[in-house]
Amino acid sequence: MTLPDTAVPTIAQARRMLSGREISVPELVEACLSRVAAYEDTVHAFVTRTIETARAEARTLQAELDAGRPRSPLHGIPIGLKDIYDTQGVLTTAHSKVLEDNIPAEDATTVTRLRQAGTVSLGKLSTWEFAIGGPSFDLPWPPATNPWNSDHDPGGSSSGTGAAVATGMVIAGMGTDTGGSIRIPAARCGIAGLKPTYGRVSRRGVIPLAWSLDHAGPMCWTTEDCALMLQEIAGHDPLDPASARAAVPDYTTALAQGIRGKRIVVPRHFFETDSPADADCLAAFEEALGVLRSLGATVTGIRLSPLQDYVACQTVISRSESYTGHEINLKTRPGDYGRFARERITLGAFYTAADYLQAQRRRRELSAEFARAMSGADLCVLPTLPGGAPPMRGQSTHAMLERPLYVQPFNVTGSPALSVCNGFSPAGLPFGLQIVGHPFDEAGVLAAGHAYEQATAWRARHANPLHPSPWAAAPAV
Amino acid sequence: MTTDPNMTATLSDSEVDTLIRRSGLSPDAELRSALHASWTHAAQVTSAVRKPRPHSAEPAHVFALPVPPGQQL
Repeated sequence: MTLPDTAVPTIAQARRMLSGREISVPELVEACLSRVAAYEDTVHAFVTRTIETARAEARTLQAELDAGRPRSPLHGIPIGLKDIYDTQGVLTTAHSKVLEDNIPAEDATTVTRLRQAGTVSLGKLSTWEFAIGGPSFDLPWPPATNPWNSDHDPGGSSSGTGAAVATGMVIAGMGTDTGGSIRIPAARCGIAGLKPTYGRVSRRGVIPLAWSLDHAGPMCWTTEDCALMLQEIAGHDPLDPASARAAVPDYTTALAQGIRGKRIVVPRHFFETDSPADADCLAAFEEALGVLRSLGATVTGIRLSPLQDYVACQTVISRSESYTGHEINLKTRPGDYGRFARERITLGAFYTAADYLQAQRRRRELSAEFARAMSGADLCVLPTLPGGAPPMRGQSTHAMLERPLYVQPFNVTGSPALSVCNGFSPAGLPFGLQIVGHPFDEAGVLAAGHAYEQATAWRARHANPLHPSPWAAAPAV
Repeated sequence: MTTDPNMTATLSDSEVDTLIRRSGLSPDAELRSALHASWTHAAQVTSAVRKPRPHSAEPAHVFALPVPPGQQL
């Protein structure tokens, strides 16, 4: 059996098809590769494709399935990895000339876990250079484009993962998030993306941007798929000094808890006055709140410090840490960086040690403030972004400071935060709804996202990069 | 955003040169110009985190040593 050309099978659907012998692992891989062949020239989601390795792995995994030995619910699922995850023997570039010949000797911990779970990697996915410089046209590889309209930005920095998942080139992928880099492309590409709690998923073997803010997490078509991915990658890693010794619950079972009786808080000033969202985005958000209320949640407002205070704190920490990591290369081979990465990271040279430590002191204050605001609540909900995806070209070096987004506060606090699709702009570009939870309560966040997706029809709409009309594609499998 | 009135949002050429010398960078003219132009953003975010705080306001990344087995609560 082959899958429809334009529909995107979820992990959950593909798993049922595999166990029911409706499709084989090699057929599933070929179905994804057919989409790669059709869309990649437009979407530019990949830096490196590992097609023949994937085909060989698919045969091995099918043999294991035939023998009744599935490794996990992810057995046979085609995935892609943002090109900052170390992969043994496979080029890992961070989308930069600086690392254009870098072949790691070991897999990142998450890559090892996904391999052990039986996933099939189709390759390494485009990213903003070193997860900060993009969208850039002065790098060795082109930037990924938005699958809903290739003239628009897919969001960064996990741009290739967002675009590849939204087009079904892979069924799931891994991104990283230092200041929104999972949730932004998830929102702009119309998929689900989870930034887990800081320390929940190992960062070991992921090229760092800012050690104290970096999070690794899954990006998938649905929240349910994010839960299935998280189940395999979560858990303590003694090789990651920030890894938490926290028990890992059964996320799939937790999805069924829904949101009846859950108490939701909304920091309206973030998106109404601090950095106002577009009218269409606000309307989509209010509609989403209505859905959550209709599912049995209660909604109240909260007031936090201005959004700009959270963004300032995140920015000083992020730029100081990223400059520290790149200082030697920026001094010895600055021309090997693209303009955006070079200018954004180098600005970190101008911050003092006192600035950095003041930002870390502010971080403790802001984290405590958010914890107090959440003390009587289960979830915090707000738009992921102030509007749909902007055009690819013409973006400024410091766009995120000029129009602050609503994602960075939760890198500061380390809270789990999910973005799910909650509608489309009149131009057919997706919006995102951000759902934030208490530390290590990914289960509650995922349950809310799943309940919202089940109650709405957004998952029936699919991107087709060759026909950039929002409703052009076929319905779900 | 709460800002520090002592933090200027613009820099003179000589102030930029001082910052660059201190950093040890040797930017070309294009990067130097970009850094100069970006100072407004750097000044905004740093002034937002420079505030009087009590002695008890510790940085977020102060660490705790692992407690040996048998001595844990």
